[in-house]
Amino acid sequence: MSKIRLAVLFGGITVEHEVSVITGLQLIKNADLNRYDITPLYVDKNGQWWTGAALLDVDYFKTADLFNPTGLTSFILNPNKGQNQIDVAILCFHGAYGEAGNVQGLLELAGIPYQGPAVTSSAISFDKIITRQILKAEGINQAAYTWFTEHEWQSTPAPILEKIAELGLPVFIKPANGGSTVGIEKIKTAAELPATIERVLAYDQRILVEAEITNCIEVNVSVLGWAGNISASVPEQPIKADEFLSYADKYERGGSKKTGMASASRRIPAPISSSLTTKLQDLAKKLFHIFDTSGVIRIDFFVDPSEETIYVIEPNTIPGSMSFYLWEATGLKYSELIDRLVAIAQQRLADKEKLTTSFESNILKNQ
Amino acid sequence: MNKTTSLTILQQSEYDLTRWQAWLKAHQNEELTLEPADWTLKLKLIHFLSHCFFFLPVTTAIKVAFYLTQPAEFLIRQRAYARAQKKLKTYRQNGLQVVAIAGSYAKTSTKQILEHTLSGSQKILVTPKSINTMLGVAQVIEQELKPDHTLFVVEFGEYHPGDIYRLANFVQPDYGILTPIGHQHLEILGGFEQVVNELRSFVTFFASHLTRVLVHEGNRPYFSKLELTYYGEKKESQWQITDPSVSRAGTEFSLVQPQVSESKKLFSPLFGEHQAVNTLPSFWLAEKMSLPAAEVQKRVVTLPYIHRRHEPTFAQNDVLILDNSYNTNADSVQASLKLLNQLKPTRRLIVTLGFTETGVDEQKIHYAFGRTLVNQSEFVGMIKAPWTQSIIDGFLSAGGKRDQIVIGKTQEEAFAQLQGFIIPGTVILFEGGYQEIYV
Repeated sequence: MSKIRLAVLFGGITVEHEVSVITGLQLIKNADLNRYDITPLYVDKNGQWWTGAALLDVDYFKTADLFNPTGLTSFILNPNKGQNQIDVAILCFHGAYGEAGNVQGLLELAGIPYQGPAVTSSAISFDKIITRQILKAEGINQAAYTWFTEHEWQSTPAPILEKIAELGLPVFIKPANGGSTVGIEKIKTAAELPATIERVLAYDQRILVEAEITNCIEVNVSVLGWAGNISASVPEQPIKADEFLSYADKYERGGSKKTGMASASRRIPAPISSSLTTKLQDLAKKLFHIFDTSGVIRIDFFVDPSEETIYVIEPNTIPGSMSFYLWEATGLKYSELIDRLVAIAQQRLADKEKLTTSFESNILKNQ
Repeated sequence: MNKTTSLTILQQSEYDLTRWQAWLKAHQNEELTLEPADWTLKLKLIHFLSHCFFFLPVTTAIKVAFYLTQPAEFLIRQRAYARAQKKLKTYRQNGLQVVAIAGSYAKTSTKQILEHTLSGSQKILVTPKSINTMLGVAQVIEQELKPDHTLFVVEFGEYHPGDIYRLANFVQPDYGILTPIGHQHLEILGGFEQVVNELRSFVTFFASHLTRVLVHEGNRPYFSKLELTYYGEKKESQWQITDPSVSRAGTEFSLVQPQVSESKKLFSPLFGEHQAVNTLPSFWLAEKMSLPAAEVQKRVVTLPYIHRRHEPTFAQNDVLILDNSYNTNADSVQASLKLLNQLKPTRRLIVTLGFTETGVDEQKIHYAFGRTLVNQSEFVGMIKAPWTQSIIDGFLSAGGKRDQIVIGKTQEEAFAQLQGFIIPGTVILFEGGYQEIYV
């Protein structure tokens, strides 16, 4: 059996560029080379597409000018179906363009199968305001929120400030689009509001304001699959750097031998009950369906462990490191996860091609 | 040896000058820097007075300062006791209730669990850290007890015969919790029988109202003639946990209560069924005080980890460190070893000193411990102690190999030598050995 020509796409014009490079290279490193011929496709910080063997080495990215990389071959994706030497693509982008549906649209045009989700799902999941509206329409529990545009803020700020006051302080001000925490601000007093809003408007013209949820811990679950065949991972609790004493702080004092072992940035499984875990996994799968996603996604939640109340934060359609660590903890090796993503990509395209998209007759003939 | 280190050891030897001097002699050529766990008033006073004797060698200056504090300490004690008792009496008239916790081990865990689980409905003060002497308790009453406190939880320590009964008379607890009696403090009290007698006096204090005391089921043999309320894992216990299930998320278990037909399923982030058992006094006390059990149940779910009592550190590559270094004994270590295996490690590393204050059975107990370790760990880091060879002999006699053991002067040194053996998924248990006095 011939090998599958697998393109791995990463980089892009986004603040999460470097994180995407790590996700892409991790995936390449773990792919089964007996099954795949891998082509790395790198989008630099200026939006130019490149390929080349140098991209397989993380050291290249440590020294290269990521706005104008050298030593690479320019890559042009042909929008005509069947004109690219690619059987399957796996998108490892995080943030704007790559995660928001733009590249997905390009691959759809070129007829290249990819893990998904498709254009609409990627776009709506990337937009925090539309995500909130969909959750509301579906009756899913979430933080109270309000939203507005730059134009509304400039013309009539008073009703916006009133709505924010109704949420109760503190609140989080977030740009509608953006996959990372860049641009997100927490404010505790009304006096801070106008200046903060002006600052956040530098990142987006549409702004989301969310009420704070208390007595909660953050817990994330990954969901993998396509159509009816989906599964949810064990949950993780991300640990912020300032919330724990590092391994080195506690166990490498007094000049003793250093281990190079670092503190974990997450707890797997999260410290919650099995009943709450099941509830979270069921809800994660439901959201996977509601947002019409596919491939591997991660959904972030806040949970109140005492009351077993769950609040949805947001879905991430291309999660950092493809959430492989959650799947390993669930019993799926990274190489197997990649195999699943390739199979999902192929199945998605096959299912799509079964659909009627044009008619034999040409109605223009009768004009 | 610098002065702070000497003072640290003086405190750790519980101001027993013989033990203190023996330690200093054994470590005279070493450059150790130790800090006291707590700069108590007594330690500060000795520190201050020792400065006045700057012309004397450090050890002599500390010794002189120690003797000088004795009359002052006596007066301070009497004054502190009187003031504390007066204050406590006034607050009790305004509704303050007092809960005492005694036992050989699990006192601090039980105390901290009580503090967290009942703080939703009570304004609680617990004696901080391991303060458990009469002077320490008196100082807490004087400095920290406020008029709006509704519950005062006091840990009782047993260092001398009669300590427990004296403490009980001093604070006059409304309720008592007796955690497991075990092989701890044998040297100070003179033997296991003395430990049992000492802790028996705790229950004796409640003789006229035995329903106000809750006793760990392991202590049942010592109270065969009394009708007591027990807690634990056995079905004979009125307050019981069943179906414990331990994972890296925490511990799931069911709660069985007297006069409640259905058991409740619970989750606690703390590791181990022994910690699940330690939540039972909270439910018992809630019932005694007519507080809602549902409130306790909700707070069990968010229990914070307890310092150096199987306190976890999560490292990369699924490596988990469980720090149970505060203290251990031949009885409590069983729970640690069980927990270690329940967490399904790819490899088990144990860093241990063995057990302190084991009295005449020191050699026998450690030989047996060494034999146990063979099937419980792939590698052992021994912190050097007078009984280290007994552990090694036991380990080798049970089929262990010498290259599975490393020895260091301190916990850090022993651990440093084990680090090459860590693989992804390893669980590392620090079992005892926190206090340098025994090293």
